[in-house]
Amino acid sequence: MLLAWPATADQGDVGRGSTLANHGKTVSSGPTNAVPPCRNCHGDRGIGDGSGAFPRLTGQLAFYAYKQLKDFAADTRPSPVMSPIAKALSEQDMQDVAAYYASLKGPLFPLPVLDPETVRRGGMISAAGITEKQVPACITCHGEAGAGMLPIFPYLAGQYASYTQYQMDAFRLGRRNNSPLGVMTEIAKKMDEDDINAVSQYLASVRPPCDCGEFTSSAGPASAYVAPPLLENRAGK
Amino acid sequence: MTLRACRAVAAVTMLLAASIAQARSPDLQRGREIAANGSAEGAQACAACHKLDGAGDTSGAFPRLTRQAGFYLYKQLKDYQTGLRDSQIMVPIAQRLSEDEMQDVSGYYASTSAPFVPPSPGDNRSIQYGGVLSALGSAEKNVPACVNCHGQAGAGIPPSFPYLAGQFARYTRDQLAAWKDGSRRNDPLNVMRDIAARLGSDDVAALAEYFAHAWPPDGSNQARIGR
Repeated sequence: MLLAWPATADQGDVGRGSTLANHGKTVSSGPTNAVPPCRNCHGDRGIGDGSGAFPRLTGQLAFYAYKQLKDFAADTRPSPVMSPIAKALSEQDMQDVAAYYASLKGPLFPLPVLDPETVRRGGMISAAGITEKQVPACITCHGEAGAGMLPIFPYLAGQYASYTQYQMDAFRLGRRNNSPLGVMTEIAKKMDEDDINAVSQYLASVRPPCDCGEFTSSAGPASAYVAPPLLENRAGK
Repeated sequence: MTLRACRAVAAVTMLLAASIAQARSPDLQRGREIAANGSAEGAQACAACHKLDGAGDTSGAFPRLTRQAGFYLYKQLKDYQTGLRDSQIMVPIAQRLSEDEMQDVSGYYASTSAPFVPPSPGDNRSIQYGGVLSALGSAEKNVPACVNCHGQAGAGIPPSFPYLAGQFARYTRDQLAAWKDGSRRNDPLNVMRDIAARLGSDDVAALAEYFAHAWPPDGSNQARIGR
């Protein structure tokens, strides 16, 4: 049951997924409701907007992303935002959009200043678990340094701390209940807020093993900037 | 309703703009001098509070001005000058700036590139809730999505709509409170006053927290903000 991989989940059409992710779906393109472009919230290439309000999707395992859409639609992972969207997607749409995000690379936003002691503690939880609380190491399933493990375990490395923390809380408090065999619910319930905070900050700090690159600011000297009249002044020109 | 209101605001500000600002390119060097040293009429140096690169300081008492939409900055100065926007600090300063000086200094700050230092991790529930409220609004409260007018992830839509992404939480919170209690009233068509009136203090706090953590437009994220 855990490995109920649909025959076609790895056959999503990346091109079709790209159209859906970047342009959404109008009512005329199907029998269901319109779908806003994923990028409106999840950003260009799924990198998010730096805030962590919306998870990073870039390069996420296709089956995991697909399963989350299924679960949003089935309300086993209820979300006021994602459930209506997922319900308006066809089976094929879900596979395509998941395949699209799985195919991408994209930069990571620079990290805020974090408390090194907290990050270290999070690293220990991730690598070794918390013996006295019977919390297993994250890496057991999520792969070395949280890089994810095929076919079903999402990467956590480089994911926004605020998102990870929020999801762990959701598991712990029963708002999210869609992990196979309830594994994540069981783990999250054994962790307290400090544990979750530490592990989230650690995982956000790990850079996934891809040549994603850092999001760099192209801040240049003001003198290099040619001023247009104020009315045409566009940010970032 | 919301997109229409958005377009109406844009139209009104453009009309206003056409009536006050000639098609003149701001003199950035002069703008920089005013920012650094103040004006001949005795306006204080902007840099004293906003810093020369417009980064402000982490207190959030002074808004981040770096790369803010130039026309928006100009309009705020104009509104301080005419008393449409109140501030014990900014009104006397704006009154000591000439029309050209306001344009120059606005153009200057629109052109600067201060680095963005991401704030330390905030309250994750607020960030999540604020992000959703910004992206979708609230049908229940009849609040439109912030992104309708302020652009994707609050990146701003120049010339009229300022960016919110990367703005200090305290400043955003204070301004929403000011729209709500009517002490700030320089929005075209009452748009911000109407919206703020329908926001609870939790909504305001969440939006401010979310925008403070979202990456501001800095010229390197054209693809991200879709322009």
